[in-house]
Formats: sequence, structure tokens, C-alpha cells
Amino acid sequence: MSLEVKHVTYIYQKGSPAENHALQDICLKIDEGEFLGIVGHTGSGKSTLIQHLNGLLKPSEGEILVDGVDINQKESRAKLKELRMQVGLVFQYPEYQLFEETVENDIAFGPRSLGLSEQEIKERVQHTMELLNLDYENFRNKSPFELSGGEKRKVAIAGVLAMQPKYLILDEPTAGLDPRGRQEFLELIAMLHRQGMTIVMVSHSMDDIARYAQKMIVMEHGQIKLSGTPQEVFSHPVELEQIGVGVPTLTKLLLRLKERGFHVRTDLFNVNEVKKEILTALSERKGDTTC
Amino acid sequence: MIKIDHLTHIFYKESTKEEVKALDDVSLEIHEGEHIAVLGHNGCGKSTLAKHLNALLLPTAGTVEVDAVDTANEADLWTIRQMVGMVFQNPDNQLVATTVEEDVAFGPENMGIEPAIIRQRVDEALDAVAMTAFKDKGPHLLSGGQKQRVAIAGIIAMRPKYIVFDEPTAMLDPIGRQEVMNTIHYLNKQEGLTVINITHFMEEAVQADRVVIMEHGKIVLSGKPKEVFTQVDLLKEMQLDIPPIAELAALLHKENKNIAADIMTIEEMVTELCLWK
Repeated sequence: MSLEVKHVTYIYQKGSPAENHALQDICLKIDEGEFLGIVGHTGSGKSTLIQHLNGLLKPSEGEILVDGVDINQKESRAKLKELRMQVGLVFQYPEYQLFEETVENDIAFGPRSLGLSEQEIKERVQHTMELLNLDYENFRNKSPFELSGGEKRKVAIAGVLAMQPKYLILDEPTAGLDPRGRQEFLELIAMLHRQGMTIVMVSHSMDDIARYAQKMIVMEHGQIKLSGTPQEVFSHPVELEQIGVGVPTLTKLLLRLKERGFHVRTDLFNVNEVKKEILTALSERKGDTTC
Repeated sequence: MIKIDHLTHIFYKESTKEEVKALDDVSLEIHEGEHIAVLGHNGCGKSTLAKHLNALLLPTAGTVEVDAVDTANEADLWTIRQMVGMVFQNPDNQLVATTVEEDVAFGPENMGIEPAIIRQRVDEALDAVAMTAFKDKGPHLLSGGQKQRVAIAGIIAMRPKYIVFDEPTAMLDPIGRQEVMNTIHYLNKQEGLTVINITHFMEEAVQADRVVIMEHGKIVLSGKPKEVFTQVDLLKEMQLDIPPIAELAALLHKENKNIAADIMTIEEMVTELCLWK
């Protein structure tokens, strides 16, 4: 089972003077259970790409396959709703999309539109709120608008999770949160991943991608410039610098140390591993003064 | 100097009908030419503190004085607002006009300044934020970082002595963030403006002269970045981010006391490790 992007091109305002190729011949396969990071700066096509994954945008050319089914094919129209359910999309600043009078109703909106029984809806809402550490009894009747920023975002994400998607796509889920909120969300996403959910996360933080993603792609001008594991991708610091996304802080340090003659690996991201590597390099090279 | 003396601020929360102490006996002196970073989680009182600096909020108890003028003195309100400019998080909420230069002129126009002088101030302000080339453009055509720089120019054109930035880079991408931080440094170092930057980004805080950390309406830690960010355990306990290099320095120092614990940047770390190679 997988999410597959096959030779997708997307053109905004085709035929007008403002015609713009937002995606150019993108090929990408996201296997079930994977954690994929997407990086690239504003305007590189990241958001356009993820909006294709659940059929919000239709490719100008190419196809999107969810578990092998082309979601834009005429014959699969009837199934489109079901396929979209498989792919949950959390936009940037999702809290702007809250609209119901109570937290419970807001989260229940998606499941209710699926035509589930009230009992099932309630169970899903309760379960999702527990997952996000939102006490059901305490929060269910509150207005989403009286919550703190972090709580609002949780409610918005809960609305997507209550649809029980197989693939969860998040566009900069931690933007604008405080450090505590950021850590909490990243841990939550990692937990969903451990429970088997496929995660696609757009992020500007190379440190976060290095820490959580198993695979990553780097986009520029609507194309995938680099892809692979974070170790593979971050071993191209020159290209990444040109694209303007850079490498994780500790990678940058290791690269600089290597330039100065230290015998260190440069594909480590964890602070404890980096510490060990540096201490080993120091002890091995004691007395050498080529620095 | 801005002098905050035993400042307490109490909100009345309509929804729960209870009083919330947003600031609890805060004292702080901000000196001219300083660059201060204020850190802390949402709800810790940082923004409430910021809004006291130009009388958007007034103390429940205690005082705030800007160059010895008490912010609670209503007659001096416009003097204070002119001395202390504020830049907020969302650039889209701060731009009002249809072209960049008109937007920058908005503040000085409202101060009743002569047109010729406004012209000069707008040109200088746009120059200071490196946006002169965009002066005839519509603000909606700009990137987030560019919009934020225009918002800053609008403040500079009013010639404040102090600028308070309330999470100015929170909604920007890394390039926009860098542009705005470069502008903030330029204003502080080259133009001598006093900068108070409220932020969640530790890499921004590392570049300040002084870091103030707030929690539950109080200042819990304050000092030079090197003094603050070496308190790794305390920061972790507060669930604040630690700059990655500072965290690494602390770990290395634990194992090898030769390596200094107060290292904040990649450059410093490379230099330090070369010493012990």
C-alpha cells in the first residue's frame, strides 16, 4: 500500500500571461508506514504538491495513486470520498479553520459527514481527544475560540485524526508555536508514526527533519532536487546551501570540523552521538596540530 | 532608559470570570543601545510586558517609565508612543496603504510632520530596511519578510528610540527570518536603536546582548546569552529549547573539563575544539 505521485505537472492559470508551472514532472512514492519530510523554501511547490495528495488539486498532467487507485479517474469518482478519507491533510495554521460552537462539534464535523452513527462519532471524538491530551469532559463544551493557540491547533488536528486517515499530511505543523508546543506536537506526530500511520511533514526546520523523518525530499522550482534518507540528502551540503535550505546545525558543525582536519563522520544528527564522535576524534588525534 | 519597577498586571477573564495575574512584580531596566531578547512560553507574560512599554496596557500596580516619563500619565501618551515603536507578528495586519512608500509615510503623516520632512524620513527608513527598490510596489506583492521590513520602516519613520518586536519572525520562512533579523541587527548596531525582541527562536536570542526568560508572569532568568544558555538543566526543566551548540558544549564539558561550557555558535565551537585537538 502506498501513496504514489506519477509524473505530475501542475500549471496555475494555464493559458494566461501569469501561467506558472508550480510542479514539473514530479515522481514520488510514499510507502505505508513511512515518515517523509518535505523541505524547500516558500514558492518551491511543497504546498501545491501536498494538495494533490488528497485530490484538492488535480494534476495538469500525471496521476496520483492512493493504494494503487488513481484518485482523479472518472471511474473512481464514487470512491473519491473514500480515498480522500484515507489521506488526512492538516494545513498550515489549521486553527484558522475552526468554526463550530463547541470543541466536540468541531472535531465531530468530519466523522459526521461520513454518515457514522452518533455513538461511533462520540467514541472517535473521545478517543482522538485523549490521544491529544485534551480532557474530554473539560474541553468538549468549550468554544474553540476561547482556547490557547496550542489547544486550538490540537482541536484542528483532532478534526482530521477523527477521520482515521491512513496517511497524515502536515504542512508546517509547528509554525508559530512556542517551544513547549513544538516539542509536544513533534512527539505526537512521532507517536502516530510509531502506531503505524504514514506521515508526510512539510517543515522549514532541518533539525526537526533530521530527527524525525526516515526519508526526505528537497524541492525547488516545482521539482524534486534531492531525495533519500536524511543521511543521504544532508551529505550534499553545497547543493542544499544553493537551494537555500541548508543542513542541520550539528551537521554544519561536523562539516566545519572535518574541513579543519578532524576525522569525524558528518552524517550524525543526535547530540549524544555527535558528542561521542567529537570526543573520539579528539582523543585519537591528540598532539596533531594541523588545525 | 526604560525602567520597569515592580510591575504587576491583572486581567479580568470574561469567559471564566476570574482574575489572571499576567505580570507579577516584574522589575527590569532597558538601557539605551541595548538589544534584549525576551523568551518564554505562550502565556508567560512576554507580550503583556511588551504592551506596557508604549502604554498599550497600563500597570495594575508598579510603574513603567520611558526616559523618565511615566506611561500612566495620559497627557504624555503620544510622546511615549513616538519614543517606543512596536512591530507585531503578522505583517498582513500592519500594512495599511496601497504602496510601500505610502505605507511608511502613514505614521509620520499622522504626527503632523511637514511633507518635505516626511519624504526624507520615508526615504531613509526604506533605505535602512533595504526596501527602497520596492517603494512603488503594492505591499500585497511582497514576501512575508519584505512585508515585515516595510512594517519596520513604518516604525522607523516615526524616529523612535526604542523598538519592541513581538515575535516578528514567527510567521516567516527561514529566508524571511534572516532578512528581518539582519534588519534588526543593523538598526541596533548601526543606527543605535534600542531593541527589545520577543521571540521563540533561540538562535535569535543568542545574538542579543541580554536574554530575559519569563515564566508565570515573572522574570526567572536574565543575563548574557552565555550565562543563560549554559543553564541547560534549568532550561530543559522549563521545556525551553536550548541552542544545539550550547547543548553540545554542555555535554562535551561534562566529559572533558578542558572544553568550555559557554559556547553558543558553530564558529566558537570550531575554534574551541581546535585548541584541544
